Amino acid sequence: MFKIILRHAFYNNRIWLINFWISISLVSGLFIGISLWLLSYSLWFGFGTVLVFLLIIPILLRLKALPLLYRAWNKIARYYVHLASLLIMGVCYYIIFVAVGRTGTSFVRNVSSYNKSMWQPRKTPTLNAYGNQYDFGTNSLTKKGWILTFCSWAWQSGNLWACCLLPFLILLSFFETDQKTSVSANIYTLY
Amino acid sequence: MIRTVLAFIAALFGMLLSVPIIVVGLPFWIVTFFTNAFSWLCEPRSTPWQELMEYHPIFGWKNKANLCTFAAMQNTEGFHFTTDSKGWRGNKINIEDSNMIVFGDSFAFGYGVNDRDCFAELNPHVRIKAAGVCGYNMVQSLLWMQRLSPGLKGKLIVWFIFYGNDLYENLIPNQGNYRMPFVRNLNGNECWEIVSDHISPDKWFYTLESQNDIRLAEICSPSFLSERAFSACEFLIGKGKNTCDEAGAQMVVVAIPEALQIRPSGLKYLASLLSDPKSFDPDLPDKKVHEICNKLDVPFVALKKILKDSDYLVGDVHWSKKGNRRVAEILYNIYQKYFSNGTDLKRELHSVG
Repeated sequence: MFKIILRHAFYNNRIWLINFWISISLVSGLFIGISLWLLSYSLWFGFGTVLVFLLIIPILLRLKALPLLYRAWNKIARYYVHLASLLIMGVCYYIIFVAVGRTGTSFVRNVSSYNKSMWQPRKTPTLNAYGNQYDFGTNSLTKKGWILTFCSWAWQSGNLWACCLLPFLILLSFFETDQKTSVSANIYTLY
Repeated sequence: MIRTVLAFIAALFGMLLSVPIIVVGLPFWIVTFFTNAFSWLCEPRSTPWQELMEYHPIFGWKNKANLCTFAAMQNTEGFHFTTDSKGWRGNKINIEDSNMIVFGDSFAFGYGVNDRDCFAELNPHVRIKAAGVCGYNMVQSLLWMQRLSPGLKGKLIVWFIFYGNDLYENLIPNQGNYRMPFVRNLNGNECWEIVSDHISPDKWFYTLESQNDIRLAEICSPSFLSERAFSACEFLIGKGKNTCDEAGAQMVVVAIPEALQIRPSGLKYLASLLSDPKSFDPDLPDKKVHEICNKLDVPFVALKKILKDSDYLVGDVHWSKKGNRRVAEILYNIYQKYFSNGTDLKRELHSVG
């Protein structure tokens, strides 16, 4: 619901395309209306409403143009997402990490029970971690949601500062796309 | 503590810098939000898959009977479908009245399209029953064939084999969390046996991330997996052929390629998954299954030469309406050759595939 890029696979779905164009018209009308209102133009509401209808009606009469417009819009959105992701990650890397890095590192010595080296004996992974490379199950992630999982990790591991990254991570999650080379096969929830 | 305070101040400053980025993105976000919201309001409510399928102690799972509902799909719009009193797709024709039965997985079920656009419903001149269930491997299809064999006499049995996962999943005991019958090799030779004693409603104790693309790439190259997969496939087609022969039915194998095997970008992608990309041969499954069918005297149709990229849905591995239409034409062609001409089907199908 909060993604920036529209679903690529729906570019041929008639209802989806019509809704897309109605949304575009509404947004255009809204932005023009607000701009006129800020400029103290008294007919801002009328202009906004007329613009919405001017945009909606011709395109609904010529539906064939919609897939093209849909894909063009998504292409521009993709460029925006690419650039915005870089900038957001840049903000995290060059501002937050630099500030945190200034405080130095806490050296945690975790000598194993053998008291000989820092090596840890490998244990049998838990069942829910069986398919992963590391002893980390993903079940709790789906149950609690990634935000809560992240926060509880930050709290438990003594990295509370990492919670300050959350707004940026949430923003980055809006930039995800639904495009894949192939759909994952395990699409079935059977019984 | 100092670190957290510093991070908080830096994050506030960072958020201030991010405001212009967010403002520029607002129109995109609002448009997507409203498009999603309006579409959610317009679309029919779909039934969750858990309510459409049920556990079965032999086959692992099956469709529920007498359904008339919308099913949700992951990346594309949902579809409307019905099931008959036995749980098979479509409520117009039942198995007994049909003259062609299509066994297989979600392709045979007609996943992704409404009943009226499903390959089984498109041609009024042939009574096709789609006996497919989502997620089935070839072992499950064979078990159904054996169970329904008393009523197969005089019918044309079409077995859809999807290269995308069927060949690999014949060898494994689970589909995600669900237990399914599979085949086990005996003593490392060409002998196989069907295993189903692990079937129960309990969750399979572990699942791996989906690796179908890698497995398909391996099956499309000379590899250990490929040898095992085709050996198991030969065993299963042989069993199917015996079942049909004993029942007095004619079996035809129809091989369905994964869309990646058709798209040039898909071929590149699949080859890149192998340690030796040069060993990748997208036609290897067709060659091998054709060899098997020749050996067992089973007519074979390879859809890879017939289907096009546009016959598949965007964002899903299944056929589009167009793909279903094309498959319906092919099935009608097979039907005509078998029933109308009364000719040797195996020889005649060379012109189809």
